[in-house]
Amino acid sequence: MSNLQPTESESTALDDVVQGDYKYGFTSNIEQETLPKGLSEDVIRFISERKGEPDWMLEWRLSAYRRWLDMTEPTWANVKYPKVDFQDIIYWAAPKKMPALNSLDEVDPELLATFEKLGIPLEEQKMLTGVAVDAVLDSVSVKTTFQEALKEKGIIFCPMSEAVRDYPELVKKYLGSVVPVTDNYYAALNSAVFSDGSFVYIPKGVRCPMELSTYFRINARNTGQFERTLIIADEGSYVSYLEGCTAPQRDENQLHAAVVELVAHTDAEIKYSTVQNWFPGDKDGNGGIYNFVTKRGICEGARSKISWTQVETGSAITWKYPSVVLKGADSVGEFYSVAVTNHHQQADTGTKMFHLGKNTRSRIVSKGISAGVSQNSYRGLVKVARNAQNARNFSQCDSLLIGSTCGAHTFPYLEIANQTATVEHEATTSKIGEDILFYCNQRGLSTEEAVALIVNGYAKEVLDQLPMEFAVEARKLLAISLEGSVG
Amino acid sequence: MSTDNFNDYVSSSFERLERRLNGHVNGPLHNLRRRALRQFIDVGIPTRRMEDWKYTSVINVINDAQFSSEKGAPAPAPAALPNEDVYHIVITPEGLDSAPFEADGLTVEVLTDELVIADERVRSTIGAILPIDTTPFVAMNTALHTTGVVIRITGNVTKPIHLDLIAHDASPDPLPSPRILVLASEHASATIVETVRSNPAAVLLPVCEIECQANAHLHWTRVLDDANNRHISAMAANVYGNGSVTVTTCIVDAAFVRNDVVIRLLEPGAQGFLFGVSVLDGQQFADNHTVVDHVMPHCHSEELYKGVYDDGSTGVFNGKIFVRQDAQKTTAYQSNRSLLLSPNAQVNAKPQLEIWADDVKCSHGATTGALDADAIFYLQARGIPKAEARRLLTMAFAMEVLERVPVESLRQSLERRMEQRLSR
Repeated sequence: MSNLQPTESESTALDDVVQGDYKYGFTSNIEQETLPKGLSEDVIRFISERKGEPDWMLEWRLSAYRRWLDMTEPTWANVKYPKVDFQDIIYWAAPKKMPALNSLDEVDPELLATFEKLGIPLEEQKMLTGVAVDAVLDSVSVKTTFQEALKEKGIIFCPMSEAVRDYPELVKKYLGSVVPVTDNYYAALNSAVFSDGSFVYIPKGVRCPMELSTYFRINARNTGQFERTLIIADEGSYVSYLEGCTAPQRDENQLHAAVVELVAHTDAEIKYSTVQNWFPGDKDGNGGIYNFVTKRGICEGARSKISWTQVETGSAITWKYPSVVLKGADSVGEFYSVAVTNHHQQADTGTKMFHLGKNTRSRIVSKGISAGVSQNSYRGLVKVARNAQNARNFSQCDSLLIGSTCGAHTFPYLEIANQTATVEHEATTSKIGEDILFYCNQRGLSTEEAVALIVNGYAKEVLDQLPMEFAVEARKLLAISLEGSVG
Repeated sequence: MSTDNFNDYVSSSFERLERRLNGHVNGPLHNLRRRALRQFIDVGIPTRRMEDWKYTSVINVINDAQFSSEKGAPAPAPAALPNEDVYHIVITPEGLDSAPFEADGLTVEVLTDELVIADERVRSTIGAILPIDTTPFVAMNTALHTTGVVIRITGNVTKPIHLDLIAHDASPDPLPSPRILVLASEHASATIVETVRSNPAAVLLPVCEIECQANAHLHWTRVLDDANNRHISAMAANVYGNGSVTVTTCIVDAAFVRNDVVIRLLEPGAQGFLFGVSVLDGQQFADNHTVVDHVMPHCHSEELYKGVYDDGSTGVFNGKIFVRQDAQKTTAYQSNRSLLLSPNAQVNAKPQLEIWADDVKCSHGATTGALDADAIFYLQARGIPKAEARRLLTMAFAMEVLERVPVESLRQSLERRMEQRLSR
């Protein structure tokens, strides 16, 4: 692999990139109102009260908390990290200023500056892209745009806390219906302390006219971030939802335990895209976000479709398995993933496809790229139940290794209990071929450029699934994450 | 039965064994047994809560073995190897049924404390290739094995070696645990065929350890062809420079099978091949659990497991390819294909890759499905009745593994056996 070794000057240039500071590491000094560290029933009561929640919501939280107390942390994932001290986390932090907003001028200027640094000025988003942004800064949604335009169509797109107040029937019906409170340790914790998140309801037959997008951002020191997102697509509707994140640099590990629930009724389609770029820790593995997320969708009705697309480049530890329960006949589940790990990052991610209905189909495309001393695992389950006639699954899990000190692992589980099922799983692991690099070198591309080109081509199948504006961001992220890891 | 009761059973069996030793309880082998007993008592019978036993429940099988009063017919002569000129090694729960012998680069001895003390190579391999913490049944076998055999292969053994494992109904032990150690010297080669004769009351728990030195080549074929077979086995092979070990598991008929096979490629150029075919019906169950451990660079492994599942049968496949950080230039391929012939059949597969080196080519593939309707139609269109077409396609599916059986007569008899099963 001699031709993969960068020359000294090359590697200095590479070091600059690899060892460069996390581009989005900064802190915005917005006044914070925070609770002391720790978790107890009182903390949950406080959160619930601050959010002005009805009693049933508080009860729901408390019962989740009581269940959580009896549960133990999962240890089966292929990741190693110091144990999380759940009493050392602040469970409530909200920007103090809560202005009633009609225009962007009223938003805290410092907050606006924060978003500008991130490269996503609300203004520009609003004017040029037509994307409605529900910007979540820590725990409270401070700005929601395009609400009017959506309202006309009958679409509900609002912070979860507002939905609890304004649409209690919908929330009561669907909250926890896809990811039950006791689903897993972190889901239970989230159910007890969730701060805020997005609520989306698309009425019958409506095609959401714009991409819905939320930018999450962990901002306050020592604040756990517990998002709760619920998307319901009623009969014959369509929605594409985008989620993206960047987080400022911190020394202490921060926990992110979100829950996302999707419900697709008959003929409905939900497309959920994520670009995840939480702070991955520095090059020595200090700090970084723990990303322990539960994402699940249910294809409730016939011919419904749920599609997860994720580009995972950040977080110190990722523990994430966006899943689809294919209940309705002829429903379709999709999972497209690019997971990049560098330095000391560890990712254990994949998907679960539960085939319950007749003629259900699922497709899994997972591309893992590991560099540095990182560990990248794909873990997935394809389950075909006894009555799921003519189920069809295709899975493709490829891993690319850059450098000899990283690891790539594949743990697929296939459980097939129906004769008519056709299930195919393929996985490959390899490094970038020397002959391919040589070919590029020969044509005047540096090894760096060649790797970027090859990796982008390798991930293209997934990146193509992303909406336009995310695809651009994702390509940038891939480049930032990988440049300089050659050798 | 609770695990405690079972622990009592194991402990009392161990005491019985100890009493027979007339006080010779300080030998190295016996010390190993004692450690193994403690290990087993600590861990107990595996439950489905353990990741490696997620799809395999053994407790009922073990229970049946203990309390069954049913006495099966005397085990029949092995049907698998008709009229073949072989070295016949018969292993029963009471001991080696044939006298120890030496011929043609092949030596067969009984595993004793004296042998372990006298022989450095036996001492360094027994309980080391399959450590007692590999699975609870390895621990149990190590503690309780009543028959241990050491097979040395020092040259090119021209005739197949037939290992005939018998658990007949006269046995006082419902869980016979034969222990086999195969030591292949440099440049040696041999073909080993292992068959099992069992009865409904017994569960056989064999453990085989194989050391394959540089440039030695071993081909091991395991045949399970009796509907009474209940079999929980473990096998591991350490393979050194340019040596190769091939393990072919043919499950043509068996009530319950759990096969753990580990191949470690410990020096450059070592190769491991794992093949398997399972043809099950009724409520039969077969679990092939494999690990290929690439420790050093320039090693190669291939794996192909196929299964045909009818009625309410269940197939499990767990295949792990482990490539360590030093094992650059590894090529490792794995494939698992399952055919479901009945609405009640079930397959659980877990192919795994754990790769810690970058310059490797590794892949695995797993497919599950029914017979191709187009292929059946094609044959029907050419005048072949549907049932016959299905049988033809299923045979063709299984033959990809069967044709790798190295002993011609065995291959033919297995083929006949399989045809009979598929046409009933």
